[in-house]
Amino acid sequence: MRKWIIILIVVGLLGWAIYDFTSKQIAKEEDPEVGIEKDNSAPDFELTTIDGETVKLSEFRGEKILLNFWASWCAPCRSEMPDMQKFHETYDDVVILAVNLTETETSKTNVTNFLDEYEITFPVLMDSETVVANIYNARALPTSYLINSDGRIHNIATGPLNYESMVQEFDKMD
Amino acid sequence: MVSTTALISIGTIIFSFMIGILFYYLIVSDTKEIKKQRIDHALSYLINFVLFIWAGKIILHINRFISDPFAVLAYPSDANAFYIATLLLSGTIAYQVMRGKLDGVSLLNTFIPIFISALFTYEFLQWTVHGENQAIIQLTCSAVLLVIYFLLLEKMNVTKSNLLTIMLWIMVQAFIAIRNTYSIVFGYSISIYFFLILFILVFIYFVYSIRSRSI
Repeated sequence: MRKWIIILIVVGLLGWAIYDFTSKQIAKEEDPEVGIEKDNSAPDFELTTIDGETVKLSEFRGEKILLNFWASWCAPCRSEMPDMQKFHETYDDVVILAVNLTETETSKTNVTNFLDEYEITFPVLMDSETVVANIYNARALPTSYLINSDGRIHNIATGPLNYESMVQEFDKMD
Repeated sequence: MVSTTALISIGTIIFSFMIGILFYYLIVSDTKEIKKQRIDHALSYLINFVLFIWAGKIILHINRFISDPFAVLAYPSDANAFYIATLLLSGTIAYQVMRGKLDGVSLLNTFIPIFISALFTYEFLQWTVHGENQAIIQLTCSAVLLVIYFLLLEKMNVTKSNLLTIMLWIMVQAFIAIRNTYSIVFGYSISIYFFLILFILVFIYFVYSIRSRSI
């Protein structure tokens, strides 16, 4: 008897999940509002890279984006950077935008030394007044926003990602 | 710095295994004392596995660990650390079984129901709480697996139904891994080779047990 009750619970939960799955698919068709929650349209911004180029988030519409907030003094950022570089080298259809919280750095040399040490080749944007980090509420570092090609936020990761989780997440993205 | 995503992930796994233990407690008809003793045993091996994952993470990044230990400790463990932990735990269990200090069959019969129900709970949470669309495939697989497990229990002895259930699970995961190049188990991207080796080992043990009439 106990076994049949458990089977009934398992089947019931599965049925509910499938029902939820279909209703979520319908809800996704609507236009997303701009915000920093999952399924919101990621807020646009414009920043200058460490090389002096101007970059606007909306310019990358149509591509999957990994928007990462980091600083050179943060140990978890140091742990994920080599994996992020490897991911950048392996998946050329994904854009990585690494936003440095420049205001929290003691000097710009720390940033350049960090990028040299880890041989970073993806764009590093300098958020010198912490404006973009505040918009994205990036208080804990690193924080990563995974943005779908339609500009919708797919997922938010607080803390370091490894190569494996980057691949997992990007395989799930549209 | 505390990583929220990692904490949520660890919390989900711990909660899933707690439900798995509750599930085991409810379905097994042994006395309370025996059930508690077996759960204690399975739990201690699960804790060992977690420690081995940490050891694996450090072994894999030993050079960086010496120069920057915090960077390695903050780094989330990956499938390679999972493989090392599996190897170390298998070695420990094999050593204890050979020395007659551990009843391997009893551990297997405790661990498998906990594992499959923890899988179901984990995938259910991934779907409902974390909104992971992909979890629906694994959730369906684990629900079907649980139902099959109960049906097998009605028809054959516990060890045989546990081995058949776990072989079925490995086959499904191997199929997913062939299709996607990996299959996600508790957040780890597990390769097809792991499932193949595991299947061969479980299958050999299954055939050996049938031939020696121990199940």
